[in-house]
Amino acid sequence: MPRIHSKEFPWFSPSDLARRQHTIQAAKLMMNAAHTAPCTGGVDHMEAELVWGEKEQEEIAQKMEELSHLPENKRTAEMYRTEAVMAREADCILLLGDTRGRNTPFDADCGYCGGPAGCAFVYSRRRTASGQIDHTDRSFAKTLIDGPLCQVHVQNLGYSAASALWIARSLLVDARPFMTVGVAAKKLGYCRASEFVVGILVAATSKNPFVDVHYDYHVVNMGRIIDSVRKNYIITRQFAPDYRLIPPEKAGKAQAVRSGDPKKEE
Amino acid sequence: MALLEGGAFAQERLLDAAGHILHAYYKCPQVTSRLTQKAVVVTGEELLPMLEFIETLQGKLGKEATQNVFFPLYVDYMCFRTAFDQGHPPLVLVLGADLGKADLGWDCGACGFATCAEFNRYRKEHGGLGKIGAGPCCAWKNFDYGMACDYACAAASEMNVENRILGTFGLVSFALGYLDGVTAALALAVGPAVELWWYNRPSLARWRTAEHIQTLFRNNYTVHYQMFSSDLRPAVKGDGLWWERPREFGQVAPDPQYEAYKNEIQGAVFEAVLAVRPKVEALKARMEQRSKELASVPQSDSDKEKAS
Repeated sequence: MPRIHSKEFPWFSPSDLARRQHTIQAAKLMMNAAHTAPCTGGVDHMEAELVWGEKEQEEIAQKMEELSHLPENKRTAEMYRTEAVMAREADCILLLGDTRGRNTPFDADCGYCGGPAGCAFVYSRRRTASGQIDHTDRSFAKTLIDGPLCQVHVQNLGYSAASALWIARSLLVDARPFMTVGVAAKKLGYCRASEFVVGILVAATSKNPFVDVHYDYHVVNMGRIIDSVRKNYIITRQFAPDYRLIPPEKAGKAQAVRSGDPKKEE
Repeated sequence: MALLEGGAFAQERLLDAAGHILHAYYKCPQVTSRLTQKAVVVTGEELLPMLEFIETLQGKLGKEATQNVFFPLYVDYMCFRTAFDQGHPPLVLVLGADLGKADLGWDCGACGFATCAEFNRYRKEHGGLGKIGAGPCCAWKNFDYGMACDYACAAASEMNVENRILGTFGLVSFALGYLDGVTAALALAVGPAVELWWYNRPSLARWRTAEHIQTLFRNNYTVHYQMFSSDLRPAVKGDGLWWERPREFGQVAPDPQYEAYKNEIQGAVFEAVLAVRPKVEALKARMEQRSKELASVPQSDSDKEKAS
């Protein structure tokens, strides 16, 4: 009979990888839920990408850390660094991108983007031809996200993300959406058709890795502590006598004999 | 114990569903953790002012004009009015939030401004109303607002309660002031306990003919890539600063003036042909004459040898 053994630790062991596979299955269902979420006019407006694996998640986490140290991100630096740890600790990352907000406004004149000017708030801030936004022109982008975006589509992406999170909740899988993960992943080329991307971290572990997070989490976290323990233990173990030559009950005396200290011999 | 009529009991228990829906709405996950959701439950006759708003418009403008004020609004109005008249009015959860304050300090640029401070300055001086809500919005708060509304919809769906979230009646509730201190409002209709009430829309058939619908499609398809969404006569975009010019509308319809113009052009073409054609005839005659002359020239001896 085939057997599936699932266990959280050691990380990336066969049992842990089996567990992660199940989270990935859940994330695939979340992806579907994102696609079926209600959206204005029923117009498809999003793309999704699912990322997992030590190397892939590390790449996204490092990009987040890189962004955290840029001067223009000073006010969000802590968020980027803290959430980078979570990106590493997640079982997988579900990325949802809005493919329309930048290039094809909904044209409903709703007013969310800029009030009285209607959709012209968006159009007047882009190069246009024949009433269409020239999607090839990215020269206006001076910020992390190239706005303004059609807010109808942005709001619709919220619906998609929430439907994905609803499925996670139903499957009792931990999941949380993050701006920082989305921005970093987009810079790495995920969700290429989108300007507005949100990253949902997904995990099925005993402790939800995305809550109860303390300050300076980027330097004090499980991974770092375990690594630190390994380093310090390896050094410390070398300051003890050999277990075969000197049993623990003779440890102090034996050491004294060898050192030739008469007081210790007594 | 009492014997309860099922339909009436289901109608009565819509309020229970509304409570669960609102729990989901308020506790939804957020990216910003700074969104303050607001909501109000509109039940029974409290819904009437919303319907009266459209009926007041109808009294002023006439039915056809009211249908054209904001076409989808009338479609939804008819669903409400029919349900109300049939004795099973839906509840309306007006879900709103203030999206107009950029207090995250993320300076992400998604709103179109380089910093949150610039956004707030612009908002103060130039912000205003559109067809559905007020702008500009903080994009991440708007995203969170979308998440909250979706959680409300998902809760309703999970309870198998008929529902649809409506921008149209969100606008009406916003305009009539059902909810204070918000820049965006959407109306989540909950109930009635009828299959696909908000999707099958049987009330549409009472006033939309197949011809109307075909006209709508024809007007919209012709300018599909340049139009504003789904108006009876869509506003059409163009080159340059088209939003500063008088609006242009698309329509497929007979055009006698253009028809006469086309006929005039056609007549001119025919006259031009008649004027020029004799010259071509003369050229052809000259060509024929030349061919005959060439044929009558005597052949040389060498040509005769080749021919033999």
